[in-house]
Amino acid sequence: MEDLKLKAITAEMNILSRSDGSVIISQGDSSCIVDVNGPIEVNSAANIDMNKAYVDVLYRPKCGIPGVNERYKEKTIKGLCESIILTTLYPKTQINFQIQEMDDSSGIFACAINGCNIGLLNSGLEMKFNMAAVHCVLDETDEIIIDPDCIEEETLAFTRVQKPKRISGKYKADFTFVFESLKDSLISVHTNGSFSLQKYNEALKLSRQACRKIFDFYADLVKKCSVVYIKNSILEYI
Amino acid sequence: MSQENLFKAINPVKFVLDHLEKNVRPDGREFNEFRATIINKDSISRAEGSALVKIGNTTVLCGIKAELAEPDNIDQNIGFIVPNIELSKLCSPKYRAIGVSVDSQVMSQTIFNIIVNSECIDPADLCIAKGKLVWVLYCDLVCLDDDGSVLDVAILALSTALKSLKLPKVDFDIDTKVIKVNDKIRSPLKLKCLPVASSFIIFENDYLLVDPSSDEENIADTTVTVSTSDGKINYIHQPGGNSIEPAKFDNIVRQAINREKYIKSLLDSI
Repeated sequence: MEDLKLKAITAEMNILSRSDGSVIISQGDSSCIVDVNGPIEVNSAANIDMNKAYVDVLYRPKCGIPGVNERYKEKTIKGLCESIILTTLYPKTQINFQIQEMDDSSGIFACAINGCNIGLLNSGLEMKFNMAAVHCVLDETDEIIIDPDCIEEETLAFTRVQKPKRISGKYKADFTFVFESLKDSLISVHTNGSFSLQKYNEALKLSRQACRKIFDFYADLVKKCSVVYIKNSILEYI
Repeated sequence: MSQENLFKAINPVKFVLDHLEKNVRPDGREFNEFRATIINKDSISRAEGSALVKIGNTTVLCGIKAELAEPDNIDQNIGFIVPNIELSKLCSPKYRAIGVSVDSQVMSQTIFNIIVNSECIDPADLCIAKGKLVWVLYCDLVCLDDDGSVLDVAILALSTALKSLKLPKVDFDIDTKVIKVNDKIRSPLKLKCLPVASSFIIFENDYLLVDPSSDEENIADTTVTVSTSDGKINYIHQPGGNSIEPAKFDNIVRQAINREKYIKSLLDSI
């Protein structure tokens, strides 16, 4: 599919010196910093399963203090990270994720999920598989747009303390799909707005094709870094 | 402890699986059978709208309190809706005893998203005087017993409470800013539709179960919640797990729509 175009993705790893894995990722104009620390000592008194690692996610919005909407994102990302990390390899420990939103021009949630994956690759934690998130919207003419560049997000319907980022009248719905790398199967869905089953299936089909591009991007990124790592280790050896 | 309970405690996964192989669920239900639904409207006399809903053992009480407030500066002619669910240790030992738990915050946000996405209420209907006075609907939900699928029950409780909501007549004088509330004359809120959520779990990639109980929920591979209103999907949430084949997903949506029709007939009958 040549007509499937995603926004330009760039990522730079190891941007923070004190963390185990860090990355700044940008997809188009949306960007965030992800910092991964782990395995470290558990500092939570919550009743957690000691047979596997405890994953903690902190999501910081661009401005203001984190609210209930951020909690919602944290919980979803936490569930995803728990399913991609081999948590049983790190019992009685904690793995921390900190996500700092930098700029949001649609699809920041997908961007944060992809950032977490690259952060994990950078941190060296053992993973079951990679994940890739694809964002797409259903516009007013019932057409599906993959990874839209900038959508005017404004608060619709109700205002309250926890404002929903919802797309205005121009768009009917938006979807964030998360796929795994082994069989490109869907592992998580998050939707906004109302739509029909047919449109959902169409969006899913297009996103599944698009997720390969993100996996290819991961592969390129790791290839670039691994050359540097191998060179360094050879130099040390000599 | 009976032999059955002992087996369940030792190997909960095999316990459920053995039942499913015999085409029956541990509580004797069919795979596509929902638990008995009990709806009680106007349970709290002091609230503007209220409902108590029970699906199986899962119980959620919802009370809506309407208050007057000044609107937001950005959108001056729309009101507020603030759903908040309380998940305390009372309903299940898995929740925290004190303070606001993350689970309840996430579920409050989910409920809010479903209400907004389904567009069941026109927020402009909550405006009394543009830029001056609007209604705030505090929807307080309390989970009394969590035996699985709390979100489904919470959405149903909120929908029923919204349906029973009667707002008093308010006279607002823009010049003198005098507010007169007439409790005698009350009118219901206009509802375009009512969202109905249905949860599904997939077990061992093979068994699709509707309306899971908490025992089934704990061992599920994949959980999906679909909310529909008037046959249109307005919320799909799959927090992780395995992929669902399109044919299975079609089946899920069909069952969710059938459930919505059933709930609608149930709500119309009370």
